[in-house]
Amino acid sequence: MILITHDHEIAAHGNRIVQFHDGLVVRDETSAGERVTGAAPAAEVLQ
Amino acid sequence: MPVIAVRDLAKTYSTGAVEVRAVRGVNLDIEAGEFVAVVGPSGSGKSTFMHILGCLDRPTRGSYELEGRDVSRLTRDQLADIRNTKIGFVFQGFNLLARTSALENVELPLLYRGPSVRGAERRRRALAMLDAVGLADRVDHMPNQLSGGQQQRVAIARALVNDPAILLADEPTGNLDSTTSREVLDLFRQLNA
Ligand SMILES: Nc1ncnc2c1ncn2[C@@H]1O[C@H](COP(=O)(O)OP(=O)(O)OP(=O)(O)O)[C@@H](O)[C@H]1O
Ligand SMILES: [Mg+2]
Repeated sequence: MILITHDHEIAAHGNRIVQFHDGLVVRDETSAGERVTGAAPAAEVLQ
Repeated sequence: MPVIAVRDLAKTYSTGAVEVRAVRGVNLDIEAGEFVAVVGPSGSGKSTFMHILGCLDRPTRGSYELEGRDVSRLTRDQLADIRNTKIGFVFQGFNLLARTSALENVELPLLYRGPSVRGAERRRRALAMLDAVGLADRVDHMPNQLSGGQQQRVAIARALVNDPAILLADEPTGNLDSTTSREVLDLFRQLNA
């Protein structure tokens, strides 16, 4: 299932969190904190 | 094989003289059984992306495979067919039919599939879904006789009655208070397990 939200607290209910910014995926992590490949390197910049 | 495989997906809206690059090249694989939250600020392209995953719209670039089939270049009718059989939707505003009971609302997607699912079978499946979302005692209620959280449960039952390959929920708790939101999110978890 895919849950779409602007709220990080709600997103935390997912087992995997895909973060969008400006039309791109900037972060893609499982709830265990493990990085899923494919996310743009811009991830670090936004942390 | 992932249930969703997206490669270099992009969507540009051309409205008059203005071009909006709403999604600009997304790669994503999602396996069956994953509970994925797509999060981001307003205007970051979440709903645009969901519309493409839900076959409500087509990308301007890239590919989208749903259960191994490339659906990014299908006609409108073909997309409608995929939506009716493979995809369940839950929206912020519940989108239930007014003056139509919870049971009939949940039966609707089975009706769209044509005569292949008979009346008694439709009813049995809709009742089972309403039971799964905890509304066995509200099946004859009209939407205006249900709380917001109950209406969203009906919408969830309706989205799942066809046993879709994917369930898409866009801000499903946006109209609910925090306690009810948590209940709905717990329900998603439980149904996804
Ligand atoms: N049908 C459309 N025609 C033209 N532009 C659109 C259309 N839909 C969305 N856009 C534009 O695309 C960009 C992304 O919008 P989108 O609705 O995907 O964002 P979102 O992440 O869902 O935001 P929100 O959290 O506010 O719902 C925005 O700049 C928006 O103005
Ligand atoms: Mg949106």
